[in-house]
Amino acid sequence: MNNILIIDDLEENLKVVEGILEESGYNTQIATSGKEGIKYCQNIDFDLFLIDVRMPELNGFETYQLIKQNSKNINIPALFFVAKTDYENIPKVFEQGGVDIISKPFQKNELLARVNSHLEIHKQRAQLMELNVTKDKFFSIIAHDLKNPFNVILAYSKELLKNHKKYDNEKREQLIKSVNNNANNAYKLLENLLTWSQSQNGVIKYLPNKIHLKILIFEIMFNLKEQADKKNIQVLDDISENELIYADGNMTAIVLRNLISNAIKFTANGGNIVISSEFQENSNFLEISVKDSGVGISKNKINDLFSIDKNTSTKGTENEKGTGLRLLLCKEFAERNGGKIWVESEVGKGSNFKFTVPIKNISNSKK
Amino acid sequence: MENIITWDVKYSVGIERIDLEHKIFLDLIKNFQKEIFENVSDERLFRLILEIEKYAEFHFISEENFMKLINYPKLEQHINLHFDLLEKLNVAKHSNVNKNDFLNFTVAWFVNHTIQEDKQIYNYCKENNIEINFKLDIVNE
Ligand SMILES: Nc1ncnc2c1ncn2[C@@H]1O[C@H](COP(=O)(O)OP(=O)(O)OP(=O)(O)O)[C@@H](O)[C@H]1O
Ligand SMILES: [Fe+2]
Repeated sequence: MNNILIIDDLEENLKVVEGILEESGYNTQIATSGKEGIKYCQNIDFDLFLIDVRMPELNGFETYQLIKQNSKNINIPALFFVAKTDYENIPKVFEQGGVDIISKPFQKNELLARVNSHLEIHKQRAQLMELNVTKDKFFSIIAHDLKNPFNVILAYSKELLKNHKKYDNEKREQLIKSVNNNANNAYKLLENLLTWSQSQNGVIKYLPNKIHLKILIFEIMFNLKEQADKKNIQVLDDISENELIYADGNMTAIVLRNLISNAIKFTANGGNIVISSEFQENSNFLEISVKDSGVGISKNKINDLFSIDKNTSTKGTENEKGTGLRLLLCKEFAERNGGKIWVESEVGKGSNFKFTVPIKNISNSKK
Repeated sequence: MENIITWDVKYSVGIERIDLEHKIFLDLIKNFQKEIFENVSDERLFRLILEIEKYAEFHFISEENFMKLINYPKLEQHINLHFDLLEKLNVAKHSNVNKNDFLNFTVAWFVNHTIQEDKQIYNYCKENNIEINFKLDIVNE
């Protein structure tokens, strides 16, 4: 996380700064005008900007405002180059949202120290924001999703206690079923919440191993078979006999179980599901796919599926209720294994959830 | 060691205080040349560059204050030239392939900026009958 964009009309200065930063291991991109810098911002993610204040055409401040308006680098901090005696612009840097100034002339070590500390602050800020979103999500789940099943459980069990003698068998069974269903829902939610909070707190340790994929899927299907049979859904395991992966068994199982269970949930009676794998060429990854013939997902929803601050939960084909948490767990654990997760889907035709897992020990996977 | 530059009446801009500052500036440059020639340590040269840098800042503010005092019409332009010079000084001091580059840069800067730009301030005063009262008391006592 150290991609720095330097914008300055003075090319010699670009070279000086670029040289100093590259020597210290930062990635840099240089631009000789505001316009050029803005162009880079449309395609590249940066972590820090160094912008000269005095430039012809777009000055540094105008450039920064435009970058913040219409590109993917909206929240990236900027440091501004200001001539040492430019006392008019020095305070303006901060008014314009800059986080610091680098005076010209500057000292090399001072430049490095400022760049480094602002990268660090930016990183910590991003982490804090992520933690905050996670916290909000937790509270919102506890406040809404967990409260609802308990409302039903409390009301119906109270009614039963008071009036169970008045009801005929059929009515009584109906009420008890409702209580049981809601208790199940609440428990499922708690389980997901617990797994998720453990993964967030780092309680769940990443313990990679050689895993026989076929056996893992067999074990998972053993528990999901009943669910699939109820809807007459055929699950085809198309994984070859001796496919080995190098990953954490529990995490991989959670990803697979949740994807297959979702596939069952969002596929109508009589549909089918195919689980297959494919070696990704020129990489150390196996791509695993869980493909269903279910309801599919609309284009504008796909982007929000794995994001924590959007609740995308919809009911299954048999009105099965959900928590909207499981895909988040899938993403979390797929990534902790060092892989990625994504989906291809078409409304009415079905969805194909894919994720990658390493096939051998690669040390750069996320711990 | 050949003398890189010496004060000459042709460098005088006709404003006593400014001339004096230019002389000190020249002195710093000449001293820098001397010490390069004597092969002093990099640390020492770094400190000398710092001194030149600081003096340039000081001198620019002096000039700017004087220009403000006489309502010099090309004030903003001239201030921008000062910014440019500071930016170029920054480049020169970091491209330390050779300390002589920095030296040559300061000399060229002195000659060009002083003769071409600072003299215009004086000319403006003359053309507009502005009395130049920018002297150093300690010198005239
Ligand atoms: N295979 C699928 N086909 C169609 N839509 C899906 C599929 N998998 C997930 N989705 C969509 O993504 C949403 C989020 O899925 P996720 O598994 O995170 O939660 P959920 O299924 O709603 O709840 P839970 O996981 O508690 O059952 C679902 O509600 C559904 O709209
Ligand atoms: Fe000047």
